[in-house]
Amino acid sequence: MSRELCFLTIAEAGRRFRSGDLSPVALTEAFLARIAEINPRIDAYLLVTADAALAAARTAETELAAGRDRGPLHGIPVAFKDNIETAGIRTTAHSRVLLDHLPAADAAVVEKLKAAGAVPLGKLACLEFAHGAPSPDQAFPPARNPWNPDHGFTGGSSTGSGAAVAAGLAMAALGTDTGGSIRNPAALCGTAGLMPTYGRVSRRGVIPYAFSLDACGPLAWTVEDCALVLGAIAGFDAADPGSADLPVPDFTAGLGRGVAGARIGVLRHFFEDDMVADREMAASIDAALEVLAGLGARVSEARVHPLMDYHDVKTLIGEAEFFAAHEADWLARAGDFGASLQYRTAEGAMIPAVDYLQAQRARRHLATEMDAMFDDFDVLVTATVLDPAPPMARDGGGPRARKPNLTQPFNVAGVPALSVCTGFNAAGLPLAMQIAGRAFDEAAILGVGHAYESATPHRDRRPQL
Amino acid sequence: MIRARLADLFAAADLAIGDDDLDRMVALVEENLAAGERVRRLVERYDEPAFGLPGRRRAAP
Repeated sequence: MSRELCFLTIAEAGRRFRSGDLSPVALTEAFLARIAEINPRIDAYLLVTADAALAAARTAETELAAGRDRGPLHGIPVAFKDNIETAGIRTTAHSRVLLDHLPAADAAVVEKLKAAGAVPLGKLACLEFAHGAPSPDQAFPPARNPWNPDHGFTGGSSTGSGAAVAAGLAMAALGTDTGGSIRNPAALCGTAGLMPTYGRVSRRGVIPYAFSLDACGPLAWTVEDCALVLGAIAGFDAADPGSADLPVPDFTAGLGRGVAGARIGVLRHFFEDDMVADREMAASIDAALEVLAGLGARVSEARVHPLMDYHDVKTLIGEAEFFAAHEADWLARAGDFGASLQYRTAEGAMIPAVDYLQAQRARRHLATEMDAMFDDFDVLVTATVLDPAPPMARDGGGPRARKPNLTQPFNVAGVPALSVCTGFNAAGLPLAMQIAGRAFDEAAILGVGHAYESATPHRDRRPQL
Repeated sequence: MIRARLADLFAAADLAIGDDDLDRMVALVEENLAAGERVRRLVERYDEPAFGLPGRRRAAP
């Protein structure tokens, strides 16, 4: 029974709360029991806030019984990537540097979820400062992929967010995304994951990676649940200088409309020419496009600049901004950084100011080109990752060359992008596609993702733990 | 010069770095400098306004 409750969607749990068939306290107790049972095998949580969760669940139960309904997140158990600050609750960003960090205030997204009545289960593992790589010298073990807990990598950097949602240890989790850190773990763990438009969700209280690229958004089992969480966390915040002062629509309003007539552009060159995706991954995307075409979408090829151009721009901006954000700690206590991040941080110090600025200028050209694509297409589809979950790296984290990835273009362009599970390979590991849209049109990509999920059986399969 | 600057940087942070890792760091820095050269291909002579925060840009009426 406990397992079944933990595999409900947010939408299903909300319906059961309101029919009196399920209580927030019972649901929260089920999640806490499952975390106690499963988390030691996958290390998704760094910290479980059981007392706070039960208190919030009791409040939600009382309020719902009294008819005071805060909306679709009321009584729903959620968790936060540990680079998102929580008042009085340790927030480490998975780093020894912040082992004693007790924030004075909640991040804006935590404030909003609490105001929506959500139940905070705890803090989730991530790559160190959302940018390192697993190495044995870190303060906490890395999260492991529920589809292959013995040695599977979750994807990063929102490692625990992907693992927790897939394993049924949270109904939704917040992650952050600077070059793919929501969508990569969503893809490798088989969940849905949404990077909202740059500026849609406040980053106040999110420990930065790169100021001009960072976004915060949800991972959940279904696209519909991502839409529900986005509705709770989106909105203008004057304390975030990148925040956009735009109205927040009901992101679920168009989910039932289907995709008949929708114009879908396929960025095939990203995963066939610029980089080459695994055969089963590519086949699953082709099959997904056939499903969407069968639902009435108009599918055709699209082309933008090569992936390498986006990669160059993202690397120069991201590494330089990361060093700017973390320079003081690195110079004062670099030995507290994990081995991988010691080297990556030093890279940022060596990027000339003029190269950073030329990358920002180039970014404008790439973003303008991407914006123009949405004159011809409602959404763009490409792969999220090239390969299913790889084994966990065990090299201890020396200096490592990086390759272009398929998620960076949408961070560079500042447009929203969603990862959706497209099935499983022969080894039982999740496959995925990525759906991107015009700035502030999250509703369009959520609509396409929901139509695809509704037409396929992939949401019925969960990892066996 | 890159090697010497990196060595100074690691010394300033009181971090030890071995020769092999220093070689690999030099290669990464050289690759980033090459990326800096490549992005200039995407930029025209006077194509300002160069950039703005996308949120603000798109939030403007």
